[in-house]
Amino acid sequence: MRRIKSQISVGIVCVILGFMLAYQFKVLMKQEKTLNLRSANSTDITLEIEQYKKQKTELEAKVEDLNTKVKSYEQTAAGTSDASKALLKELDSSRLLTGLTDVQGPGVTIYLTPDTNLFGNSATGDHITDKHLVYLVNELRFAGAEAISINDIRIVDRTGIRGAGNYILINDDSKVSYSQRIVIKAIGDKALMYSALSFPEVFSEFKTICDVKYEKSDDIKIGKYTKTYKFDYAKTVK
Amino acid sequence: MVGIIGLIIGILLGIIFKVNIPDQFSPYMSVAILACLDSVFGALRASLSKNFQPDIFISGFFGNALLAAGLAYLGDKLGVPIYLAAVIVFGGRIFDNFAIVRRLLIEKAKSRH
Repeated sequence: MRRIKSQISVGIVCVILGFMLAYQFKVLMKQEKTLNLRSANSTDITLEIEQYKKQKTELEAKVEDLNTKVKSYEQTAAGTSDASKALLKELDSSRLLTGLTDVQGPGVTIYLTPDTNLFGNSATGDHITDKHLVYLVNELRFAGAEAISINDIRIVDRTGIRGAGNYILINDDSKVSYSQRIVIKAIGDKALMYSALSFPEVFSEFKTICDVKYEKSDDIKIGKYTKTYKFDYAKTVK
Repeated sequence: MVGIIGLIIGILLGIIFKVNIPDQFSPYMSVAILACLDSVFGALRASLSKNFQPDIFISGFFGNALLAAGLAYLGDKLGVPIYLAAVIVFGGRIFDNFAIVRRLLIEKAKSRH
């Protein structure tokens, strides 16, 4: 009698154990399924990003193509008449002045390499900020720079530079990370700009936050301003 | 024998019936399962060494499971991963028990020859 009782109790306990095992197994399977779904989503997103990048390069190539076409049309339209030739020349020079063309020439390049802090990002907020970049751009302009770019983003007269969280925004949407090396290129009188940069205490604010290097060079290429100029509010006074 | 039949019935019940235990209890369930497995292995050892007592087995089964789940819950509330203690202790004991079961079985097989 006792033996049967004990056998039955063991059986019941095993039923409970089996039930728990099966239940837990089921729950975990369900979780795995949802997890897989999530990872599939992230791969989808990376794929999409890749596609968009590809699309972007294709579209850029198309824009380049169309631009050359426009150029040739302009040239043929200018034809032989002196007046239209002068107009074309004016157009080209105004494009050059507003930063709508790739330019090259002598100038200086500044490399700002952030100090790597032993404990990651310093809590005191000691890093390159938008203000440092604005200061440098201003300094270069004062020394007569004709074209400036930061990390190959063209700085034109409508450019704004502003800190936004972990990035510095230039031209509204181009991001510069302050934890990576920043390269500033400027075309102009290289001797003048170099002497402006080597003036004592020009880089005093940069001493504790990054390593500054600058060099003269004879051939600097700066890409064009990629956004479109458009005034929504300002109108010519009649 | 009864145990195996019970286990199979339990697994079938678990697969067939949909009992809704909230998802947030699932970690406690797994710790409790570990405790139960430990008890079962202990029982296996005891029955092989012929000193199996059903009341001790059943009290250990439920007691360990409840204690493990309760400790895991408490640890969650306190922010201390106490469930690790349960995992280590019960895991270690399962291996211990298995080692003894193995020895007993081999000795049994040897003595038969």
